[in-house]
Amino acid sequence: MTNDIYRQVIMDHYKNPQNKISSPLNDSDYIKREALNPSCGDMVTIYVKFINEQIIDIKFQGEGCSICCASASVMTNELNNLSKVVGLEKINQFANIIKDGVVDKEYDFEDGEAFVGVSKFPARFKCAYLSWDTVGKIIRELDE
Amino acid sequence: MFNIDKIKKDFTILKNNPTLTYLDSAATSLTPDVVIEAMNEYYYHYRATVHRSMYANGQKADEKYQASRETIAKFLNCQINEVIFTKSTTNALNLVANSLVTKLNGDDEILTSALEHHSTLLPFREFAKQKGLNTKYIPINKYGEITYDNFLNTVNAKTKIVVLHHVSNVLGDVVPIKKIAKYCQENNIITVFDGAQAITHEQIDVKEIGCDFYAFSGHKILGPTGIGVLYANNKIAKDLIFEYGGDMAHIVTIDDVTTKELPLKLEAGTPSIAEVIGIKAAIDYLMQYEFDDIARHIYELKIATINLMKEIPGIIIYNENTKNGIITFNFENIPTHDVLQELANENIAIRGGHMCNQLTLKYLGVNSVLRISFYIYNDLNDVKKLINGLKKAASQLAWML
Ligand SMILES: Cc1ncc(COP(=O)(O)O)c(C=O)c1O
Repeated sequence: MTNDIYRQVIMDHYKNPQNKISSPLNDSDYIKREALNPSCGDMVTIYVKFINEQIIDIKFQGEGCSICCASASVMTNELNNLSKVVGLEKINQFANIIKDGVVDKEYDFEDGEAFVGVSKFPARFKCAYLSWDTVGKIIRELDE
Repeated sequence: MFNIDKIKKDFTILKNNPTLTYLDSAATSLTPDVVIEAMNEYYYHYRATVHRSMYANGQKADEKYQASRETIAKFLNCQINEVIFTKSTTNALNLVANSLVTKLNGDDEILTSALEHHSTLLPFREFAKQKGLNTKYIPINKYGEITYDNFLNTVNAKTKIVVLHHVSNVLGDVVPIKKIAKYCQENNIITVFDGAQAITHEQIDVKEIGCDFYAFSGHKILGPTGIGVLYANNKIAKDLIFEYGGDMAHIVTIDDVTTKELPLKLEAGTPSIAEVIGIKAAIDYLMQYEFDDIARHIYELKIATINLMKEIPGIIIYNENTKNGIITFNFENIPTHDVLQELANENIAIRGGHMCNQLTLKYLGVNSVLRISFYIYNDLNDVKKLINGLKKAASQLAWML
């Protein structure tokens, strides 16, 4: 039954996360923001580097459940090299994938599509959305 | 001993959820039909406010409200005017903290521990902080306990309030509150104990403990949500005000107010009447049994479960040696959330996360734990289903290792 949620892609990202660093990054080129969901043990820190309007690198550090960690790993690829505006749109789109289980082809998701199964487990929405939401907050704060 | 099949029949919620394995009673217990019926009777037959009605239903509501206070006074072995109804343990502790801390000043200190539930720690520490007062922590010994010796080593002439849990919601350790209270009585220190977990399986005699305040919630002892009880030593409580409002005020003039006597003085506003009636029904129901039997029953389930859990590789148990009905554990290298998901798929209800007790988790060196908790309606069949669920979870999640 949970195979609905643990797609191979998710398992792969959990076991071999991309752009994950093992200790805090001290680099002022990156904007850092903690993404904490302490009541369930998801504690990650997201680092984003921008050049002008463009995201040029994302890294994450921390620990959490499979969905949280795999989603953070996928996010670092899905949002990289997007403009802030397109990034925000894609974050919204990802929210739809994990909430309603629908994928909008316009946004060419790659591994992000694997999270459609989360829609059947509303309690996991927060886990899947945590890192994406955090990048959204970073972008919106920059634009304030 | 008691007959679990018979007890299960008292809980329609179990009949309505035939596949449910409910092992989360330390978070909130299930409610037997008698409690729901007592509250329904109030709503269906004699709904009215308390304290100030001339008409029959109001009189009856009053009698039932009063009867609940009397039952609880007997239950805790205190005077009737020392039973204060609140919304919850959290609410009770906030009210006590706020009203006591206001009276402190200078270098007065609060003494607590780093194993407290957020509801115990935060009201006192944060109200104290607002007044610029310090909160000190009793050191934890190497077994994760708060000992009387360590209390003695920390308490000092500045200590004005000691606030501690009686039984922990994470590890189930028991704090020696009776000895601590005795010392505090002799040294003019106010004691406040959080009984939210202890009350479920231990006969509490507040006079024997000798404390000043003792708080618990109805929903952990088969009662409704939205009702808490605070035992408040009337020698201290008579000088406190929790909240202003209706029912607590006696004479109100354009620039002054006098208050009613205890306990009404500390119960401002229309209370949770149905819930007060419900908590009495819950205590009456529970009192059919001896607390020793309840404690033994849940401990036996704990031991039986632990013995079976040991057959599952990778499980770390944090509180094997505490004598109670809770098991706190983790799967090595598998996040709690993933385990919870697998168990939820089998309709097995346990808790995972920080348990509103982040300091205890810090002590354990983890961000998150899993907790199984038993109560009177659980039996070995629940244990069997749980163990099967845990085994299945372990195999489903083996890919994570
Ligand atoms: C030890 C302890 N203290 C306080 C509380 C708070 O109880 P409530 O949420 O009913 O106010 C709980 C229960 O969650 C608890 O286990």
